[in-house]
Amino acid sequence: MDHQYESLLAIGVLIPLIGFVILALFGHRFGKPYASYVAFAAIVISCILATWVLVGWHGTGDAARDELTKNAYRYHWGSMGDISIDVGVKLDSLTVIMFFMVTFVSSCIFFFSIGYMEGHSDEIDGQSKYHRFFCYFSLFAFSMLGLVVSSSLLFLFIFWELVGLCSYLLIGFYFDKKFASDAAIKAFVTNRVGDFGFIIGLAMVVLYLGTFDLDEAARNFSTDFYAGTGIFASSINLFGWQVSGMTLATLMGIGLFCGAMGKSAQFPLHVWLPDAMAGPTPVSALIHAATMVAAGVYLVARVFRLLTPDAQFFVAVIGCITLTITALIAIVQTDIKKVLAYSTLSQLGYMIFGLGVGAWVAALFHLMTHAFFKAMLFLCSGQVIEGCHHEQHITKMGGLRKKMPFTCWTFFVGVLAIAGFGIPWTHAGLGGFFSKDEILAVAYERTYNWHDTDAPSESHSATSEPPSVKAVSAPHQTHPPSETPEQHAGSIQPVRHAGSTAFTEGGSDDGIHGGTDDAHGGDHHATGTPKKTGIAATLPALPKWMFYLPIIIAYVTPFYMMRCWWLTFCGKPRDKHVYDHAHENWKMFVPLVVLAVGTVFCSYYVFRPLIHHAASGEMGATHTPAIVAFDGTAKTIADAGDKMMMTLTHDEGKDPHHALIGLVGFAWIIGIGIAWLIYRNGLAVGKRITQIWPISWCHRALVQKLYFDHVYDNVLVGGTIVLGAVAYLFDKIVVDGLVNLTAAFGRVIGIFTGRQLDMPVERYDIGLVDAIANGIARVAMGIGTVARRPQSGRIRTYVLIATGSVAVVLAAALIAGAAD
Amino acid sequence: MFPDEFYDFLLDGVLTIGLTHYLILSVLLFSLGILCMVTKRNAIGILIGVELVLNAASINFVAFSKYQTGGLDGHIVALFIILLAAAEAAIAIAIFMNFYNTLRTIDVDRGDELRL
Amino acid sequence: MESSILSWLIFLPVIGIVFVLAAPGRYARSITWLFTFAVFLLSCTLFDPFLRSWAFDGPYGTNMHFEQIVEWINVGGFHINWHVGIDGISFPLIILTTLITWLSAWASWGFDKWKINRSPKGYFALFLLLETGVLGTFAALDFFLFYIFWEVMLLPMYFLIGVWGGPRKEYAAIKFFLYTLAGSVLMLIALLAMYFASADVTGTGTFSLIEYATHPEIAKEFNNPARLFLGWPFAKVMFVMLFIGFMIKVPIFPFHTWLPDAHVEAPTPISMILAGILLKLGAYGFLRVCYPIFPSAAVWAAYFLAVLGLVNIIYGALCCLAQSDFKRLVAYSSISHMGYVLLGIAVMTTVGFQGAMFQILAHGISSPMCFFLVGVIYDRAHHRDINRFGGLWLSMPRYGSLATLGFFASLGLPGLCGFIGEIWVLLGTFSAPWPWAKPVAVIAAFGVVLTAGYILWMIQRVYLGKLRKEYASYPDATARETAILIPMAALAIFMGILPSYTFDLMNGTLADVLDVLQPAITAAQDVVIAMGG
Repeated sequence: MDHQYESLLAIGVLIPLIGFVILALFGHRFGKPYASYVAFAAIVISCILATWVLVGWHGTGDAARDELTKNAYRYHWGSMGDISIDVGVKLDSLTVIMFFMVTFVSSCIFFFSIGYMEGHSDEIDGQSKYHRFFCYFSLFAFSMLGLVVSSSLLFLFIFWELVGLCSYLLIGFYFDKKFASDAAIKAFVTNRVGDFGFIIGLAMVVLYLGTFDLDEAARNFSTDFYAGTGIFASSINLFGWQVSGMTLATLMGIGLFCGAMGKSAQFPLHVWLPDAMAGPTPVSALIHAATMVAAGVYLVARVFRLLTPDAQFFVAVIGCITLTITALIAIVQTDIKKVLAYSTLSQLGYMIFGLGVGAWVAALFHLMTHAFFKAMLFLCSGQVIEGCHHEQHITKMGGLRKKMPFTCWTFFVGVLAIAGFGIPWTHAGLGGFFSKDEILAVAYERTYNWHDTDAPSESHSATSEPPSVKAVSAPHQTHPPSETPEQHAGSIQPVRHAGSTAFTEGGSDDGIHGGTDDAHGGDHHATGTPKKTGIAATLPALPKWMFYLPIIIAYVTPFYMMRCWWLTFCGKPRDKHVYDHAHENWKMFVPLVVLAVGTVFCSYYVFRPLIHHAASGEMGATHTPAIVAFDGTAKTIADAGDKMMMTLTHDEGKDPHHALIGLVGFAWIIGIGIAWLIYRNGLAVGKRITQIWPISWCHRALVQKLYFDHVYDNVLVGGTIVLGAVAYLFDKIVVDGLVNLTAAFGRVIGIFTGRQLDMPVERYDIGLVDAIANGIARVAMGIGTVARRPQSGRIRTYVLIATGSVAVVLAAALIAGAAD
Repeated sequence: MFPDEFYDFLLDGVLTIGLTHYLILSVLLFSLGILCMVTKRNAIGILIGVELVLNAASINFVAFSKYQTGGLDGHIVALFIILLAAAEAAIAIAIFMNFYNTLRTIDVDRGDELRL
Repeated sequence: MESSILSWLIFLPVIGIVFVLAAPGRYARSITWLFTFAVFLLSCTLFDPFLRSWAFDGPYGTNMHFEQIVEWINVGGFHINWHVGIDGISFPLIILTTLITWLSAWASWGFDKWKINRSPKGYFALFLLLETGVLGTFAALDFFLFYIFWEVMLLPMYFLIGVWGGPRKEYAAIKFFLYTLAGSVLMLIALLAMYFASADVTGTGTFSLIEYATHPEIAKEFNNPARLFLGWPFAKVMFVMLFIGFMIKVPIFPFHTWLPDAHVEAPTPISMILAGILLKLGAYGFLRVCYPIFPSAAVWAAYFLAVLGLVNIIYGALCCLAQSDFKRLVAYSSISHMGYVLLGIAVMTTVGFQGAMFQILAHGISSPMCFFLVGVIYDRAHHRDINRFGGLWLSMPRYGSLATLGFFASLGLPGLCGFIGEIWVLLGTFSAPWPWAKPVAVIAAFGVVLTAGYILWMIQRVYLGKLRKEYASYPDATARETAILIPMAALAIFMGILPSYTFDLMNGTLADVLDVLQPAITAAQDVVIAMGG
């Protein structure tokens, strides 16, 4: 069975679709709760398949995996012009673990939903829409899984939009509420803004790389880069701005990234995600925390090979801004779901930032761990909200620990995970600890050790490999060797003038050399003097703020999470009604426990190696030059092998970076501690702090979410609607006016010719032609009037006239005769 | 007692029946016929007037035939006119019947429009 | 390959008219339904050659199917033929026509419940006549015949709007009529000028649209810059006149205002036909008449046309945002969507052409669906004010779901038909070799945001929200309404998921048309390159 894994994955994608179709057509007949069983069964089957594939894949050797990836089946779906659009499963480690993660988390959340929907949560304006909820959920599962497995950028985009649709439908599930449907629209339209960029990026990929296939696109990109052809030799004029070569390639990358900005809610398109919490809580957990919003990160990871250094820098900047501002806003939120939403945004910012700085593996690892603990946190909040009679404000909670112990402690696990709980210098820690540290470690490398790697200091080269030099790895054996590295060496020159590139002279040699025996990226041999090569050399060092902001936020994150947890579960109850009502439901806390266990154990040991392998597949197989693919830190490129974990804080067999450990290693405990100090006695201290002058100022701004919504609503949305109104008025008045004016002009001419020349309608009209005709008629009429008088119809008159006439004639004749 | 001319006149013009007498008779008859047509409102009266006029014409034909041209042309025409008058009278009376049926009168002044 | 099937197809509705007029009025709708359905079935028999590989062998004009040429009028040197035939451009449109007409006939089922339900015989007879006109226009290959059918189609539409329309029906009908007639006049002038120009070349003139494009001497003379018409280059004048004639029908920006009025006033089935089929005639005219016959002028006007298409997209979408009349909103969205068609044609790339043609069909499916959806609710509520609706998804769940599907198809959601056309046009535009193509594509791509905006906002106001009391008792979509919506919904999904089956029907011919255009495009490119651009 050559195609065993792909077939399994493909079936796994289609089963939720079948569930969707069944529910869409017959869902209302199943009713409550049987409709949910269909959806749940479907996703569980998918999850079993995914597990099967994961286990099998885990046991497959690297070479065999690469073979499978390469030989994956492609179905010819259609053609766009000369470009064939093939679709298939992009079978690699990333797909496998993403698939597993999505199905696993989905299964948990589906199960949770059955409990969540038991009450009145399925009712819209009094009508039960139970089946519809699970119908959408199944559709979402299908779309999300499709997105994960797509090998084609076009299909990725198609599923991309479909998950957007599901998000729209589910945010607006309680569509009788205005704010819910508003939030749904906001989510969809904001995503569309991102998709606008995505479409442009897609168009550029199609035009310059001539394919939709992710791998082939990356291969062509690489070939073009070396040959100085394709996009690197192109130049377009965009609104008077001449864009060419490298800048053009950057634009392509940014275009694709725009899609991710929409879906992963990155600044400045982050505004929809907090509002999306209007949906039912399981939706928030599944779509707006664990899976769909991570799709943007996934996309960036997938198109990473098409990102130029500038584009990567752009990605990093956006990620950095997002993670900072959203974490700050999270501090002041009082709605439990909003806190989690903003923390999701912040974590997504981390991932995007990680990708931008090159920490590919770390970012995806963070994605995985985050999916688990954030889904769990949201489910906990769902439990709390459902238990507390739909009360969402943490200011009204407190002391729920006794009422809902399972929820409390699973939530706390989540808090620890997101805070980055871990003990420095050891292997002990939760997933979030490693992933976050890894991202920060790479950021550190990029900030401080970047410029001097061409001539590395003694101390550094003793312990570590050159950072990042993944520039040119070998062409995969089976790739058509049209462009061998040697040829590249000669043809690299044309690229040099393509704009911002300025790589070192020796770079190309080095890269080629390094690449020859680097088939799978895992066993890269050190090539002596580390040099950044090719395009990698143009990667700028990060500005320092991009290193320090994430570190500061690493302190902020535990703070606001602890605040949320403490205010909810500890202290004294602040609202008796809420407290009395609170209860737990086993259908809802079982998945919590499962996810908590996953958070603690599963993610690190299973996912990290696979993502690591994915990196080598993604980066190694296609000798992409534009990539500086950090694998963890750059150090691990050389000796990755079985050493999966290379963070700054603990570095097997090598000296850890003690100063950095001091900087971030204890952030989680400090953040949690401060939060505890402030909120241990309730809200009073916090309130007093926010009244101090400059803080009060910031507080107000943060409560107002830094006024993004105000600006967008009033300027962009309002502006568009006004523009629409203006356009319509223009249409009515000017365009239609011109039409009517033309018609009126025609009428005027008609009236003139008609009335003045032809025929009068009003008294003052002349009507020349008519007047002539009427004149003639009138004369005839007059004659007639006179002539008809004798025609009285009386025979006697006729006789009289006849005889009289004869008499007259005779008389005349006589007189005439007499005259003769 | 009268001058000779008078007696000549009487002899030639009055006592000797000639063309003139016929013509005078015819004129009288014609005039009476016209008078009858003009004055009568009764359709029958008018028909009688018409007959008078026709008879006047017949007399003229016969008279001229006898005194001027000779032959029988005038007589034939006179016979033809008699025939025609009979036919015309029949038709006219049929019309009057309809007229009467429609208007309940045979006053021709009531029928001064071209429709009934 | 003489075949009279097309003639039968065209005149079958006329036979239907006889029956409609002869039978008592209460049978009129059944007869119409039967005849439109028969026409649809008959048109399905045309599929055969287009599913085979030889369907598109040979250059443009040589692969007409079911062709029939009969000498028709031969007076005073004019040779007018009854010349019909179909290729990959017209065939899908014929299927679309027969299908949508059948569904609209079905949508007319509630005729006796309409406010204006006088004279069902007249209504259904005109309805069938309209179908004849449209089918004839699509099938005609003789320009004169084309013109005649074009006018035949015009008249029933005028009466259908003007008699059975809404409160301002006279205004709308006359506006529609005069507008289209103005276009027809320009077409008539071009028709005669082209005939005499061809007579200059061949001695005996021709009206054949195919010969105009493929006869080497005629084509050369038509595109000869030295040939003048009223002091201007012949090709450009002809192109512009024909183009204006067709763009009124599409409609393109400055000439579009008849459309919202006509739609708002027309009864639902007529709106369906108007949006689903009649608008496509204009686009079909571009592809059949303007482009293959005057490649030089097409290249010359490309930029201008692309900008017009762009204006349509953005401007139409902006106007949608300001609408409170449901039907007017859908009408403006038609304008916006037809902008993609013009844009795709104007850039003259393979992908652009394919996208434009697909968009024609996709819009031919989705817009009748939208109009019918509006009609369903109008039948119940007797008003169309978006702001007065709310919560309809709750009282009419089946209808609400189908409506969501229909409007999302119109929005261009992947997996539904609208997406394929849009993305093809956008990618085709972006990859076009013109220096202006990329900025145009970028702006056009922004249309997707606006489209999402107005459609979702409308859905929110009509279908979402709390259920208002006055709508709570509305019955869900009836079996008949569902049956009308299902074929369109199914096609929307089918075309969205497996577009290649639709593309296969037309790509061959589109490539042929592009081959005709190619020399002119290449020449223009050379100029661009020579100028250093």
